[in-house]
This record gives sequence, C-alpha cells and structure tokens, in this order.
Amino acid sequence: MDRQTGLMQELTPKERRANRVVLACFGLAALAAVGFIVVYWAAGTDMAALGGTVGACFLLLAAGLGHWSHELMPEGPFEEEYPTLRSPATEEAETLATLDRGGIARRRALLGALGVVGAALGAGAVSTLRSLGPSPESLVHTPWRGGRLAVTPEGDVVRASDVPVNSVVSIFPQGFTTAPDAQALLIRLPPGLNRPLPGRASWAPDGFVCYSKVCSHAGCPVNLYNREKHQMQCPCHQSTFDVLRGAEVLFGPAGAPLVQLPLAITADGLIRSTGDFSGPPGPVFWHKYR
Amino acid sequence: MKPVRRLNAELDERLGTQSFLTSAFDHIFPDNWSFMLGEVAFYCFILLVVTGVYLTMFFDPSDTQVVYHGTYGPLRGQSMSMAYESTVRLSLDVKAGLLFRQVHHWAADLFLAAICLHLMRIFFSGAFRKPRDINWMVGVTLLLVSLFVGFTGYSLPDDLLSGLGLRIAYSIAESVPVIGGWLTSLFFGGQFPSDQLTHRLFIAHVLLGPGIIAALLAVHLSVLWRQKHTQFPGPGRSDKRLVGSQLWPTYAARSLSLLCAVAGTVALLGGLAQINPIWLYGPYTPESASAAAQPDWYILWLEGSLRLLPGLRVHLWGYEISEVFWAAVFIPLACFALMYAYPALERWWTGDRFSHNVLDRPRDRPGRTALGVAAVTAALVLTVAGAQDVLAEYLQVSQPPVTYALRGLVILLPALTGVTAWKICRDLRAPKPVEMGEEPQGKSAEAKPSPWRYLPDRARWEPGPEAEQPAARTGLRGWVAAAAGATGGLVVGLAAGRRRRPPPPDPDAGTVVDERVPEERSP
Repeated sequence: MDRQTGLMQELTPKERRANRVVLACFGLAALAAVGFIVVYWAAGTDMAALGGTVGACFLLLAAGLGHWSHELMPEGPFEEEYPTLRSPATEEAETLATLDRGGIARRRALLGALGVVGAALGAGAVSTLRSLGPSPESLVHTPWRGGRLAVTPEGDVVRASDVPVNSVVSIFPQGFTTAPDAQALLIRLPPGLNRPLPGRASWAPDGFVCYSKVCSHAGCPVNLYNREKHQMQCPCHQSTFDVLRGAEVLFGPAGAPLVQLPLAITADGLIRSTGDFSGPPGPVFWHKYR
Repeated sequence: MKPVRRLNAELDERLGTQSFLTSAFDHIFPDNWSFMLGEVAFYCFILLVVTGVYLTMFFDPSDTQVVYHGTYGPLRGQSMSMAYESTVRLSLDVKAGLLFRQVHHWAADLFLAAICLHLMRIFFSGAFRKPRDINWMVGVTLLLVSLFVGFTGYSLPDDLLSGLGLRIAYSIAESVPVIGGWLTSLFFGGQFPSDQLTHRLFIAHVLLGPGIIAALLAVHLSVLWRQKHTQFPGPGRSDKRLVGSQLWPTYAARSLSLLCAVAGTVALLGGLAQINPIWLYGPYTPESASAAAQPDWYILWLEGSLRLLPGLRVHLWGYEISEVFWAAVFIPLACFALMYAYPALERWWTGDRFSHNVLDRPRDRPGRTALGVAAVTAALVLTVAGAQDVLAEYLQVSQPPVTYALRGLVILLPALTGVTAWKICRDLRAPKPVEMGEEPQGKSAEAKPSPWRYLPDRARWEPGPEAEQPAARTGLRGWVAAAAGATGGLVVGLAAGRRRRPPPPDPDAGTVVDERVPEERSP
C-alpha cells in the first residue's frame, strides 16, 4: 500500500489520470467477463449477450492496454542498427571449407547413390498414394438403359398424366436414386414447341423432354427452370440452356449443351428411357471421351 | 518482484537466458499503423486455433448418413450426414457452441482480409525487396495455404452450400489436363460425392493446413526478427539505422492490445452477426441446389473467374481441356506464379540489386503502384462477378448484360485505375513551385528542405549529411493523420449530423496533411 501511494506521488497529474483510465478499463473488462459467466450459466443460448459480454471484455482490455502503453510506457524514439547480413569473405570461405570436411563434395559416386536412394524412397512413398482412391473411370455410361423407368428422388414412378404442362420433375433411373450422374430434369413442354435436334425427333413423346441435370460446366445440378422462356439455368454459374433446342448454351460459361435422355411412355402411362444419355453427362475432362 | 526474480534466476542457471532476454527486450519495431496488419492476421490465426479446437469436441467428421431427430423442427426426419447433423447440434444445442462457430467463421474471414491487406501494404511500400524477398515468398505461400484451409473449413459442415462448393472444386481438379482424373480420384477418394471426403477435408483442415501455417509463420517471424522490420523514410532513419519502440514494455503492450482488439471484434461479430446458418441451408444432396450460392468472400474472385470466362473448350486428338481449367486453374496459378516472381522481376526490370530497409512511398514508384492498383481492381471486379446473379437481381436487370459489362470491366477498369494511379503518383511526386508573392501557408512555413533525397538512378534512399539528427516523430504522425483521414468517411457516415472539429494543428509536425473533413448533416 505504501509502495503504491509512493508511486502515485511520483507521477505527474497527467500520468495519474492515465493510471485511473487504465484501471477503469481493466475493472470494466473484469465486470464484462463476470457478465459472460453469468449469461453462460443462466441460459447460455443468447448469442448477443454471450458475444456482447466477451467482446466488451476484450475491447476494454485492448483500450486499457493501449492507453497504458501510450501514456505510461517509454515512447522513445529508440534507435538501433540494422544487422549487416552479408558476412565477410573470410567467414564465407571458412563455412564452405567446413562444409567440405572429409572431402564430401568429391565423393560423387556416394552422393549420387544417396540421391538414387532418396528418389527411389520418394517414389515408393508417392506410390502409396495409389491406395487413396479407385482408378478414375471414364464416365461414358450411366445407369440409364433402354426400358428403365423414371422415378423421383424419393423413388416413386413418374406417371405422364401426373405431370402438368410446363412443370418439371427431377428423375433418376429406377433403383439408382443415389447415382448422381444419372440425375435428369423431366420437362413437359406445351405441344409443338420442341425443335428436336436431327435424329432426336422421337425422343420427346407428348412434349416430354429430359436433360441431364449435371451441368456441363462445373457439375452443379442445373435445377432452375424458366417456364416462360423454356430455359434451364445452373444456379452456380448461370449457364443457361435452351430446352426447346437440345439444351444448347444460350448464355454463361458452359462450353457444351446438356446431354439428352431419350424417352418413351409405356402402355400404362409411365415415363421410361429408351437408352442412355446422348453422351456422357457433366463437365468435360482430359480423357472423358476415351 | 520476488517470484519473478526467483524464476529468472532458476531459468538462467539452466539455460543462460540473460543476454538473449536483454537483447530481445531491446528489439526495436518501427511504429506505423500499417505494420499492424500482419499482426492482425497472426492474432486471427491464434483465435482460429483456440475456437477450432473447441469445435472439434463436438464435430463428427463422417459421411455416414443418419436421420435427424434433434431439437430443430424443420430438419426432423431428414436424412443427412453425421457431419451436418453434428454441426447443427453444436450450433443449436450446445451452450455457446454457436458463438464459437460464428467467431471461428468470422475470424477466418478476417484472417484472409488481414492477409490481403498486409500483402497490399508490403507490395505498395516495396517491403518485398531484397533482403525480404525470401519472406515475401513465405508470405505468398501462407496466403495460398490459408485460402485452401478456409475452403476446407467452410466445406466441412456438408450443408447444401458447401456441397455445391465441393462439387465445383471436384470439377476444377478434374479439369487439369492429363492428371486431372487421378488427382480427383485420389484426393476425393473416388467419384463425387465419395464417403471419404469429409474425413479428408477434416484432417486437412485441422492438422495439415494449420500445421503448415504454423510452421510458415514461425519462419516468417524468425526472418522478420533476424532482418528487423522495415521503416518508412524519416529523420534519423536510414537503411542502416532503425527508429521505433522497444519490444518491452511499450510494443508488447501495444501488440497485446491489438490481440484483445481483434478478439473483441470477432467476439462481437460472432455474437451479433449471424454467419453461415447451415441449419437454414439444409443438408447436401447431389440433386439439390439453391440460387444465390456464393462462397466466402476470399473465394469469390475464383467464382467470378468461373462465371466470366466464356466456354472455351480445346479438343486435342480426342482429349479435352475444359473451360473450367482456364478460369479456375490456369489464371489463378499464373497470378500466384507472378506474385512469387515479382521481387525478382522488379529487380531485373529496375536493375536495383541493393538491399533495402527503408520503404518506398507508393507515389515514388508510379509503375509499381499502378500495377498494384490494377491488380487489386481486377481482383475486386472478379469478386463482384462472383455474385453477379445477386447484383443483377439487385439492379433489377437480367443476367446477360451484367455479365457482359463485367467482362468488359475486368479488362478496362484495371487499365483505367492503373493509369489513374500512375498519373496521381507522378503529380504527387512532381515538385510544386511556390508562386511569387504568395506566403507559404501553415506548418510548411518553417519546414526545412528534407535531409532525404531520392536517388532514382540507384533506386534507393540515402541519408543526406543531416540525417543522423535526433529523430522527430513527424512521419508517424503524418501517417496516423492519413489513416484517420482514410477512416474519416466511415466516421462521418456514423456520426452524421454531428459536426467534427478538425484536430488542432500540431506545431511539431512537419508534414502537412489535409484535415478537412466533409461536413454532413442529417436532413
């Protein structure tokens, strides 16, 4: 206590004031921390109170420390020399001589052999990476086959009469609702609008067209459909595809159309495919068509 | 004092610490607000580790599918991965769990922001020049690793948004010519979405990434310690002599204060500002996607690059190069290669092979400043382009015109801002003749000619004959005033209606700073 009052008497009025400000900051910071404990134990679910108390504690602490350093600590300016980094030539020569102790640099054969071991060991280590995944498959084929029924993601068969004109349904091949590459968007166009690509005239019975939902750009699910303009759009990068004309790219960064699924309607009115997609779905990569 | 003396003696007996401690306590750091940006990043990293460790206590990095039976009604009965389920649980059912998660997320966003600002400060002030080019490369690597760690972090919860991000990342990796297929298969553990993915992201996010960052930070700070910090030009300062504050106690207290300020800021943000509410996004399923899907801000430039680049496919004898490769692999890699090479390129271009400890003012290097401004502008345009669908909706126009405009802007705007920056630098640098009969005004009336002269031919600062005078603190105050001016806009916005008095003129300061703040009154 005596020491404290002694210290206080040595201070100038300005320093005494700063001392009080810092003390007040630290006191309030401690209070805020206690507040955090109370909030946590009381309920612990009010994020604003939790973050507010702990945030206030830290900010008060910051203010106190900052004020302390600014008002009550030596400010300088102090000086010192930058180090001279480059060493004298003699030291450099000494280091190099030390490095070559035992004539290490001249043992070319030994060093070479060491390098070979290192390379072989490194190659061995790298080759164990092979266990991390299967060999990359070419994705030319999806589970869609001729005659396979279309089902919703929940696994229900799609009845043509249940799909109103201008509406869309996400479909999978029956039994493969977890195959991401097989997902497709079934669209029922108003009659007469579809302008099929050559050779695909029979792929769209009753105005039903179906395109892969895996975007040809970066693989996001293309699941936005504009029913006025009859366009599919990818929500990730806005590639827009013309549903009326073989899902050609109208806009956006995609470099190729979406692949189309040939459809037919069974005798009891269910949607089925008559084959696989018109090509491998999804983004292109190096050996995709190999 | 007694326990301190005792401890010091005990340690000294065993380790001989006294000479190291005295030299360490006397270590001098120059004072400048912009030197604190790297420290902000460092403290964000510390907070990320602390909050991250807490989160691992509750997070379950597993792709195993479970059905949700928790307290959040809208998700009940839905099938989801354990990663998503545990993130929802730690957010909504664990006391203070959401606070820790939001603080962690905010700290990550601030971490990358501080790194980018620090990088810009280093670039524009020429701090990357020899001998610090080695530390520049460590820093660029830190940025690269931090981007990856940030991405793996927000991909962990396996919500709809992060799943889309991973799907895109898979396509990007797959687009690499020749090795893309193997790269994705080995890294992702098979076709996307594989059941290995969250495990791998988790170990990359909590061990590999932070471990690499910690190791690189150790190198970064050791090199800084060895070479000592750069300083802006000013009286008493030279490439040989450093002027600033001592580590103990002034700088240590100031730095600790900064740590507390960063902690307080992210705690307030985490408590008051909701970020990444994954229970609203829902679990990831391959057939779902939502519009207005944006990554965290530091990935937006990559997203923008993906959105703006037209679909250029290259066909090579049956092999293919995707448009994604150019946008998301080639351009980013080229940018980072340029960043790594920049110190060497500038050394080659200017022929300046000297070591430098005194920083350049950006205006004194118009070419470099223009290049930096252009690069930052391009990055900003790409960042805006990463949310181009949101922008189009905000502007009430369709997306194509916005995209085409951004395509033009990403080329034109950097050229425009670069040339403007170059012109401003040249104008600021040119000597201003005082007209005859006009009294020099204000503080500059008594200013002596600077004892510093700039030697462009040798491209370095050299002290004049008067340089070894006792140092004044003019440079520091000038910069603090400039910083205050820069933040003035914000302050004016907040305190609209309240008139701000300009600070009283400082008779000691030799630098003239325009302190007029535009007055704004609420109607």
